[in-house]
Amino acid sequence: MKLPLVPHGVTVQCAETGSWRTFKPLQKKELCTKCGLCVTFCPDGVIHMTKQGIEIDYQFCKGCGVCAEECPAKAIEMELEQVEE
Amino acid sequence: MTKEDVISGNLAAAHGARLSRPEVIAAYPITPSTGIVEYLADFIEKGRLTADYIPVESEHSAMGACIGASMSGARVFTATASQGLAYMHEFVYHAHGYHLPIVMAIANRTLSTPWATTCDHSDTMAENTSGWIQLYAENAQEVLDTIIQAYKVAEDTKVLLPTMVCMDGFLISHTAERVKIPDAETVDRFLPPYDPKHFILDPDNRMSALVPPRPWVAAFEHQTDDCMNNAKSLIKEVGSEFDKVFGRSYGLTECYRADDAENLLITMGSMTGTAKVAIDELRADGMDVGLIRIRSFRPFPNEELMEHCRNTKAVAVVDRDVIHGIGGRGGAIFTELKSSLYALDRRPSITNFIAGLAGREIPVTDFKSMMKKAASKKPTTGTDDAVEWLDAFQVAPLNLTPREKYAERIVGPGIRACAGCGMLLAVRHAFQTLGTDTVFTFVPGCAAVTMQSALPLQPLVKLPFAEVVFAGTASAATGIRAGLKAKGKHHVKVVGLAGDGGTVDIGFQALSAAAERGESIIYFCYENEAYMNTGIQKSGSTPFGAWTTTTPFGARKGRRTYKKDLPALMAMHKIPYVATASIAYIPDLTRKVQKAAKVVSEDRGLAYLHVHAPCPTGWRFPTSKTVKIARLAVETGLWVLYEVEDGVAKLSLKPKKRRPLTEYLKLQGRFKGLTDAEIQALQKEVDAKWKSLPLTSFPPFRDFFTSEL
Repeated sequence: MKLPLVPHGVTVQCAETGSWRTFKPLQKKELCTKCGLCVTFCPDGVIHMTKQGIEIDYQFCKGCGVCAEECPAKAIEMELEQVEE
Repeated sequence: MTKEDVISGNLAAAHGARLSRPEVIAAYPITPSTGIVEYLADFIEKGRLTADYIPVESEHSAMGACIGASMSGARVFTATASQGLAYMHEFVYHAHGYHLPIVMAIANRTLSTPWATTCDHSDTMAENTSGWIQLYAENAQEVLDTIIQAYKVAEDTKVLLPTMVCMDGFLISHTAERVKIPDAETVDRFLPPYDPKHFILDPDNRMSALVPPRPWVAAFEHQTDDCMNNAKSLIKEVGSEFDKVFGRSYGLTECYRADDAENLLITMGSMTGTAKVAIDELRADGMDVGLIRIRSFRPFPNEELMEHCRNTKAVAVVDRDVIHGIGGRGGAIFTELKSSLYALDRRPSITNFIAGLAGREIPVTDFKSMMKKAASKKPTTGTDDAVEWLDAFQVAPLNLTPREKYAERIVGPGIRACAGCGMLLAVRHAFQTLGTDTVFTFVPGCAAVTMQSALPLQPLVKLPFAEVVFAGTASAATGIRAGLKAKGKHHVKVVGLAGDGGTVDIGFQALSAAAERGESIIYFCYENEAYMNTGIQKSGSTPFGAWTTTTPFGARKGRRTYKKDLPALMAMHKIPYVATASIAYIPDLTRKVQKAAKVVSEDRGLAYLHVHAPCPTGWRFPTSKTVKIARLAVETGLWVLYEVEDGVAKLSLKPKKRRPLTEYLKLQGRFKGLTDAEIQALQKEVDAKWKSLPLTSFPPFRDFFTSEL
């Protein structure tokens, strides 16, 4: 019997969405206060807080820009993605 | 004057409907037919069509309104597909009994298996005994032409039957081709206004429909059958009359190089174009082949097919559907054809091919090999080996990688929601709060389509889930909870997840009943104020003045009535917990999710959460502003954060000084139609609302679960 049911539960499977990006969030480390608002508000949950500061997972970041908009310290800037030759 | 344009099948259908001058259109969005009624809504707002457009809350109501309008003597049009047609089902059967000549465009789409949005004929085949005429078009031009003809056939007093004009979903509905659009005057001469004599609900001409005495039922059915037979000649007559005026001829079937052909290929719908190329190539190779396309499936053209197949040796029938449980595992055309040819002295061998299910392409090479395979078979009366399946169990893999970094996450990254999606932010935090002892069910909508990845069906959420039908969030969640309890799993939290359309409109009946029964489930509604998954159609939750594709800017500017206040309605059900939340206030949201989890874990009844989740795509604002707009909704006082615990209402947040409403409205393209006076009026309404806050309208009630009487 084949059914479209999939056993899962150990790790979450991922399909990369980084290629969707038009604008790329770049952080200015010197301005970051590690408040974590970007981690909370990233719709996709792809910003991680580390001891060194935030880490944006560009394999999945869709470039919506919510992090830059919400950052109270203006520590994230959106930059047009460069096309790879 | 006839105009020529490159347009989609959906737009062709809308033009066909517009030119037929329906007086009432009632419809509900469903992929892939939504475009048809979006275009019609736009025609009406731009003054190109005078009709009453009713954006109903479900397909059941769409057909209900169509039947009501037709019973009052109006010419009526609607469009739907798949699950929508299935949800109409009981009203569909009413239409032929009352002899209401409703015309309904169908963009054929797979019916629950368990879910697909692609093309096949399973949806209309499920209605093929419903007393509706069913005409299947090959291309966009034929869709337009057939809708006009359909009214002429359906409204003829010898027929008076409702008619479905079917086109293959996506393959016709969403592809563009050259279409001749006739001018209105010529169509008006061809199709005069509907003048019903048989049945009108009107005090000036009193008639009533009664529950018929028993013998009458058979008489009614017999009458419908007679009308269906009459339709056979009418479809041909109207088809050739259409030819005289517009230069395009139509009948019950279409023959392509089929005269005296030894081998016949029988097709229906959009596949025919490709099949014709196969016929040309096979003929060039010296094979004696021809093609018959079935245009009218109801009535089925028995006599014509008998004539065509009288001297034929082999027939290949291609079905884009399966009739389960008939001995030979065949399709609908196959079974009809076999019974039609029974009366022949000498019958050809018939091979059935099940192909193109769920929109799979059928290339020229497939048609050629099907025809060759059928021709190589010896004539047989048996059907055991006469059915062949193309494509079964062939799935292409998608590259999905597990990421350890996200091992603790319930909702993983890579969700195929739009960038800046408010729903995703809300659901991500809510599920993370609930933890892994949670099962959820959801219905078609942004959450459902984005959280399931493509083949081979790898879920992006680490919870067991199943998608159910649009109206069934709360009923399926109820059942899941009951089933888990029966199995001793009382601790598992069950979540019903739906958007505002699936909650305030089509899903409200089931939700209201689950609440009133005290089902211990969490109902989570993400509020983006329209049907976003089908492409921004008005829902019961769309605010005043907002643009949607079914409340377009034209003569009127956006929606002209008010949104339904569902959290308040849920509070009036006297359930233990109702809360509104916003994606701009995540700690408040997660606190409320925890409270909801506590309520259901104590088995105290339904916990309802209604979360404001802005949608950049549908509300027309940059993706970066999602959270900002959600926050402004709260800061302007438009979106009130509150919770009602056992009937006691409490504000969660009171803005110190409310910002002017215009700050919220001006950031969104959907509110561009609001005039200054309207904005002022809306501001006054918000001000008045806050005067009556904190909420006093929900009297506290005794909690019978936990307190002594």
